[in-house]
Amino acid sequence: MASSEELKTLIEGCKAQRPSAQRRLYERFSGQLFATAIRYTNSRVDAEDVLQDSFVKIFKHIKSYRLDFSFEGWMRKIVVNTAITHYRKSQKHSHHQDITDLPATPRDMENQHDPEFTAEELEFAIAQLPLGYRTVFCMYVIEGFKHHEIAEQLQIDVNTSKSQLSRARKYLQRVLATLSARAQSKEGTTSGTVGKAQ
Amino acid sequence: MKDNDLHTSSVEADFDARCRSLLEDRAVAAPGPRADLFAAASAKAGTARLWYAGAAALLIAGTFLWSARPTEEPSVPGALPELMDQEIPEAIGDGVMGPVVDSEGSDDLSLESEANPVDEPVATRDADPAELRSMEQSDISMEVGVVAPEVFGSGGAAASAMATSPDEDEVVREKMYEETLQEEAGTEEAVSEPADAAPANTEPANTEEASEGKPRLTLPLTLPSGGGQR
Repeated sequence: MASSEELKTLIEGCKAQRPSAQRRLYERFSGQLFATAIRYTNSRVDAEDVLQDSFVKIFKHIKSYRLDFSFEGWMRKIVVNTAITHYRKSQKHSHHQDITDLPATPRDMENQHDPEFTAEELEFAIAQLPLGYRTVFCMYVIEGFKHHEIAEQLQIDVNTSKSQLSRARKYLQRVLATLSARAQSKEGTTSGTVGKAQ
Repeated sequence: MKDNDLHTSSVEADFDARCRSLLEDRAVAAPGPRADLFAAASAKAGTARLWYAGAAALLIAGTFLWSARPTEEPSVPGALPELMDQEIPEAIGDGVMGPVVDSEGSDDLSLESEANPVDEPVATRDADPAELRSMEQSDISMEVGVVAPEVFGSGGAAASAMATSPDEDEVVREKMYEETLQEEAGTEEAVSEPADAAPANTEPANTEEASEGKPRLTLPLTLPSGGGQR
């Protein structure tokens, strides 16, 4: 993790349009921003496009960045906005996929409100969501947008944003509970097998 | 019911907080930068600099041209005297015309034509001095209009050589004819008969008849075919 002084130097270099500083900035933050881009896109290729476009915007508008704000948050906001632009474009050519189209999960798993899950499992579960639900969930939960802001950005109704968030959250809980239960059953099987072997 | 809602919202809030903490600093292996990513950003700045430089260059060039313009204007009139100093080609006397025809050139031609052998008998004839004087005047005035077309040939130069208007010639001829009539009126027999017809017709043939073989009346015979004054 670079210190704040190093980050300041890096930002000043990027403000001076020095390619070496831009390259270092890319190497420093591209992984984090790419993870953000993946959450807002349907494929890795789309995420790569969003990332590259985002960095072009970052280098172009870095002069307007003020040091009293979080630089990472500022960059992530650019990535999210770029992803939303891509989402709007993709919506013109794709049909709406509702969350009811997704496969149902066992009822006992649905009632499990406090499953244990990891970041990889959460990412996997989020990737199963339709893009609209996923976008609303990520904007609200991770980026901290309000419903009216989401509705404005995605050009949807506020109630649609609320309902999609609610349904996305329930679906994620369901999927994560399933994954958790599978992992627990695997552990039990493994421990039983190990116990028998011992 | 309210407790149930509060419980649901708190469960959701916990779930959201866990999701945020897990994903906020999440990083994955990113692809390498696009080949033109850094170049594109630099190129945009470079392009802007080029625009500014181009605009500045245009401004400087425009200012230079504007300031240089008044100094060029006097040089154009200054070149005219040089052109005026140029001599007129000497080949005019041989009938070869240069591009510029000057009135002096036509005078030279008329002078040369005075030495034409055709006209020599006119000067050598015996006649009284007053008659010769009037003849000389008429010769000069005639030859300016008559001989020039021979030398110039056809074309615009001939028109300039015939710049002496036919009206002037007529007046001169009439004067000359009246003078001769007045001179001859007292001495000779009735010569006034052709004089009556002469003013209306200034053709050389009539004047020849009227003056009965006087040299000045033969001059119009040197007229080129179709090159008459009228």
